[in-house]
Amino acid sequence: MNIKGIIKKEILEGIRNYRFLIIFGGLLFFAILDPIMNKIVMPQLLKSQFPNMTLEAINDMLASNQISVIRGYLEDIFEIGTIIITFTLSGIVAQEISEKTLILPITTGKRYGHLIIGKVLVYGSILIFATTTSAIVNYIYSGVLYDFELFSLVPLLRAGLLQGLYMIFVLSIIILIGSFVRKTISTGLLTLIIAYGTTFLGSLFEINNYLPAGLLSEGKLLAVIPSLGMFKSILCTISIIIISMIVAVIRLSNMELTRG
Amino acid sequence: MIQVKGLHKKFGQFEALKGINLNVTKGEVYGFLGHNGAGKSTTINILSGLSKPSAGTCKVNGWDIQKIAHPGDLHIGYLPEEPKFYPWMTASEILEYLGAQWKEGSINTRVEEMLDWVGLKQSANRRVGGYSRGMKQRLGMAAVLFYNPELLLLDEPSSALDPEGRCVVLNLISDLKSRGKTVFLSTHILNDVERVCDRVGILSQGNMIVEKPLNTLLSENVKSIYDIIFDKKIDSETINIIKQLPGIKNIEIQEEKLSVKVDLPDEASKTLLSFFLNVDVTVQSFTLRRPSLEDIFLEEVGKIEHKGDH
Repeated sequence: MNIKGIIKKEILEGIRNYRFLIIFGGLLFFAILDPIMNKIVMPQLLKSQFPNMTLEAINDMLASNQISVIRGYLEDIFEIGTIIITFTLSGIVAQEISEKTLILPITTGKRYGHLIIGKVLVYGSILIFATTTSAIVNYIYSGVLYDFELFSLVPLLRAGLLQGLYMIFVLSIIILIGSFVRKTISTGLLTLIIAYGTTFLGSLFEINNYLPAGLLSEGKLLAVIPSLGMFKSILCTISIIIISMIVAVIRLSNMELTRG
Repeated sequence: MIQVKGLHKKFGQFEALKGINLNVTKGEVYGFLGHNGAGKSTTINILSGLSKPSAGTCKVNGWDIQKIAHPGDLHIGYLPEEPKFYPWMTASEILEYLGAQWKEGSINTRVEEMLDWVGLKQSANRRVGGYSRGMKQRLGMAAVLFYNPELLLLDEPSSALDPEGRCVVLNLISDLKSRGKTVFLSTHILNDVERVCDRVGILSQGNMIVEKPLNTLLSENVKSIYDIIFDKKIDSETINIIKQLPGIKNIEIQEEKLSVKVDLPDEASKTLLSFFLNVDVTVQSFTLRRPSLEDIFLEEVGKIEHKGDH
């Protein structure tokens, strides 16, 4: 089948251009670093500022525990992880257009729709896997440093999966913008503006339930039973992803690829 | 295989193609000539389905370009001027990727066959990022021929290659010709056209100014001048006699060489040769001056540019 070859090519590209490594490395870095920062580095820093205070008193003041550390990690993934993922993947369409590497695949029979689906399937799977794995690593590591206060893994896995879906939304925006602007850096910057902008506006007008940003707030609650808002957010996000993919395919089909 | 009528292409206010017509029949190698910027690549991009014409009709391999949903529907081979590949892939991987829809047997066998044909079998597992321009061009030829298309559009396939690379690419085109493939070859290297093409079209400033079989074009442009070389310098008395022979218009003298301008080349050759048999000179060479394709190209394009200036 046509799409099988495309998936193989995307996997090879992800491995050989170190995209998978950067995504996994970036997320795992925060998953491991956040508990260490909270448990060891922050108290030491504060102690150097307040030499008269004991470490116990500082820890009491910080009042950090496993749940607060996991929430902090989830926040960091949104704030910094989004930047890492955006700039790692910003060339997946824009670069192909500007470097004219799509011409031969298209003229030898590949379809734009299949190319886009292939990219979303491969990088989407990696993003879901990376966010979920990193969340589990963060849970284990924070549990080892503090106590295991989160007794069920379900809220954590849900948070990881919701974050993965949010990152697929970011991926679909990268694909959409890349098909219009053709420049990697501009694609990355515009994607970040949309990702952070929708979150900001969602909080401002309290409409996060209808935006991908709702996935992140739901994940951070770490609630055992999910809210109704989560389902609205999932539905809206999937709709945005599908619409972005369709618009990107239409745009590519009407583009003169030879003009670069 | 290709029928183009009144093809126009505009980029904003700039009109790149001003209503060109051309026809390419099955099995011929068609040389599409023109200066840089004449509109060759614009035409070939339209023929490949990658660009839409502003007006006119264009049938390629039986398909109306305006009506196809996707360039791949044309089932042709299109080689861009500078084929671009993923530098992190090997030649085998690229052919496997591009040829994923191959159904006439094992894909691995086909990949090996194609790499062997273009002489890249030894470099099959090297990443393409390290390939020379000539190697990439040959890999491009393998890619566009993977599905064994009947029609090939080649956009300046040898223009940036060294003489050896050019020779390899031209040999591949000759091989395609012997296999009965139809080739539309866009180029500004006139020697290449003289070597492999059956018919030529000359494009200038977005207009098709000439479209003829190569042999016809060359014979129509034969100059009525005989270049004759003797074993010694001809004396002025003999030259005066030659000047008075029937059908002789003018003579230019350069040491042992005479350039004789005549009215009718066939008649004049008989007269001149009969005359030289009866005088005390040895003719070492007697040739009708034939223009190169370059001369014709420059003359035809020059006419259009001259008209444009006025």
